[in-house]
Amino acid sequence: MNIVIQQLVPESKTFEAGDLHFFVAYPETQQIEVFDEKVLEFFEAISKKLMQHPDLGKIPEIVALAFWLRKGNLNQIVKEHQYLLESKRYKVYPLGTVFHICPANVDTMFLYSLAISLLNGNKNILRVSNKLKDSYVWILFDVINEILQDNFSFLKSHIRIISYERDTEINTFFSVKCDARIIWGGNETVNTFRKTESNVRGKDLVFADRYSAALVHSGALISASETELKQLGAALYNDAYSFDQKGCSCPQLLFFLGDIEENQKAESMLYSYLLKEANSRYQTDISSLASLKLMQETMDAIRGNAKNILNEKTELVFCELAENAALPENCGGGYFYTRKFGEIKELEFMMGKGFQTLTYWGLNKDQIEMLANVSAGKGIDRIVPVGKALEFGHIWDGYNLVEELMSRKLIL
Amino acid sequence: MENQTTEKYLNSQEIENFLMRDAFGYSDAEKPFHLLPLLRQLHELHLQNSTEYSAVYEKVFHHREINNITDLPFLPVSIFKEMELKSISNEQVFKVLTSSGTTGQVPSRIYLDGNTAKIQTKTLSRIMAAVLGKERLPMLVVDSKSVLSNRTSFSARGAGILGMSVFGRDHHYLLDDNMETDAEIWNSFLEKYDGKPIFIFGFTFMIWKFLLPELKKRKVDLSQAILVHSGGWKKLTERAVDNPTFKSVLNQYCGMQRIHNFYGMVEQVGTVFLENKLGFLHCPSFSDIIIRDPSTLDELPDGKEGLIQVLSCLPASYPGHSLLTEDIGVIEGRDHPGLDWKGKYFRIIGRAKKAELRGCSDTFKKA
Repeated sequence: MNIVIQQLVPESKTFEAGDLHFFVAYPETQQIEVFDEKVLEFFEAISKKLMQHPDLGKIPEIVALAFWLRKGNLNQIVKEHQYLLESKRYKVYPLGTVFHICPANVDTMFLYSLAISLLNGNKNILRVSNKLKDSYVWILFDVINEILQDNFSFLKSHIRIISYERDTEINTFFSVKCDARIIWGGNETVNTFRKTESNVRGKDLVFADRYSAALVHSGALISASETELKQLGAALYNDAYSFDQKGCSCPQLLFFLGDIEENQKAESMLYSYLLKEANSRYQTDISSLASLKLMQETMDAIRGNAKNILNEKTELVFCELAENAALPENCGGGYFYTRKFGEIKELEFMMGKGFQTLTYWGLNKDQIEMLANVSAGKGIDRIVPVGKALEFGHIWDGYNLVEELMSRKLIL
Repeated sequence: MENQTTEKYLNSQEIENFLMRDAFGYSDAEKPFHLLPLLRQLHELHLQNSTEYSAVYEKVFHHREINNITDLPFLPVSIFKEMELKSISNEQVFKVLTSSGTTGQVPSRIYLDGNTAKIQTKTLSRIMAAVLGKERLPMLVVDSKSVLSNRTSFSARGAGILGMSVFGRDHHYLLDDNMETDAEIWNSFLEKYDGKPIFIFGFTFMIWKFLLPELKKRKVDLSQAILVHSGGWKKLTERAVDNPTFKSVLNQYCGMQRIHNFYGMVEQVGTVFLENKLGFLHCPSFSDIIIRDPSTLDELPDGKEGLIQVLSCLPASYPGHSLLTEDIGVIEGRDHPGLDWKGKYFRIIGRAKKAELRGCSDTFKKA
């Protein structure tokens, strides 16, 4: 059987497995440079279009994406990396062709991945999940195609977004032909691609399974105003529920920092403010969540993971972990494991290598710094305020993607 | 409270008297007086003999007081797929029921001791008698005998057929080993029983796919037949066949009138819900259903759709007396004056969608 590859960008088209070579042939490609002004303009055009789009312009993820793609923001990144252009010891060039394996759940991720790579002047092949079929990203592809058609047709051979069923042969083909692979999608995807034959000189940027937590200062929470509490509820909601709490950066754990009484009170206050948000905003099918969460609660109770469970409503469950319980796999959809601490240094034992993002609320500068120090040599790649868990940055999981996707020629 | 064991519970005079009652004899108002004390005994029994059940009662239900049937804690029905739950010792295990439902899924494992198994069969026969009468009728099974042959790994289908077979005699299996209609069997069955009272059993979809074409081919008189079928409507709904259509088409071709769908599960064998004359599933005396709001898990009033909780007074060897299913249903009424059967009746709307929360880690996960 001939596997069909569906090309979504630069135009909608289907290919058979025998046509693979087409994707890595670049006839008369107009070269683009590192930090090319035209690329900034291209993304600026996309950004504008998205902001003005009657349907897309209302989706928070799209708004965040559009904001990030603005020329102003990308220029900031360019400025931050100016030193790369100014070196006297080396010159920088595009790395070549980058193969992006994009995650299925974070629908907009492919564009962040593409933007950084294209900013460096690379050619790009992006494999997006065929599970995205029902998603608004299909309109996104239309938007990109439209803009490519208008004034940026010279970028067409630099951007190929495709979709295909799991297929080792196709995976191998692109792995061998490309100079770098960006493998989003967690452990299983990383393992799958590590097993395929690949370019011996190719570079892999891999994004494994991670988990994230939010930490609130209980004393600060108790004395916060109604407005502040509402904002906290809304910000935490955005961080956690945007991807059904299943994104790597979505907090699955909640830490309370304070004395016993403060923690107790802060926990029930946070529960009620977060529940208000979830009750009015969460759209995921509630019947399926009810079964899923009752199942998780039941298993946590039976396995001795739970010290106490707050489960007033299906939309939000707090399961306080028993003293010696390891972190169980999280079912998502608004199921938080909680732990209470008296001091920051007690958090040390929670900081496994898989820990990605710690969002905080109500901490002062010294406390934030102490957190960073406590986690030295352990997990945690990001320490950001609550509400910013999902804010993409070119520094991710410990990589600086801009530096990674570039080639340097030593000149003495 | 004194020590409660499966044996004591099932051998008590109380349960014996209760199970001798008419399967649909309790009105909605009087039923809790009889059922609640038994369910509370089961609750105590499992608290004492299943650390798992007791942990769930403590952590998930916060030791809530039990004053009504609605207060009883409930386990998610899928828990039997994940964990071995039983309130008897390993030596007391007489039989393990398994059901896989859909292929590829982990099966439920239900641990029975001899007493529980016995009482399940007894209760099922009391309920079935309400449609089949006391006499065992000649039986046509719309399936192949081969689904019974592998006794060690019983499919739910096999178990269902075997469970029902005891209510019939002179069994004929309509399908051969290749799952094709066995014309010889069909002919010989009709020769003997055309126009006579018979018992037909099969899965809803199999009736439609295999029995109906035979009825279209050849005029037969099944006006005296009783059809009992189960297995869900998913495949038929895809073909736009609902229960009323199903019944009227069968009636049109062979005059069949007594057609009963039923709802039951391996986690509560014995207490099945049979379709009444109004076309709704009817709650027998020995079990109960509650419709719950998926958000609060509180009881919903009649007429409102929600998750179905099933309660049964039989599960003594395992904590399965109160379970929250993943089915969505609605209570249509209670104590209908036009029915001989008393109590609640309901309708199943469908199955709750599987929660599809996609992690970062599933770009290339196997389907």
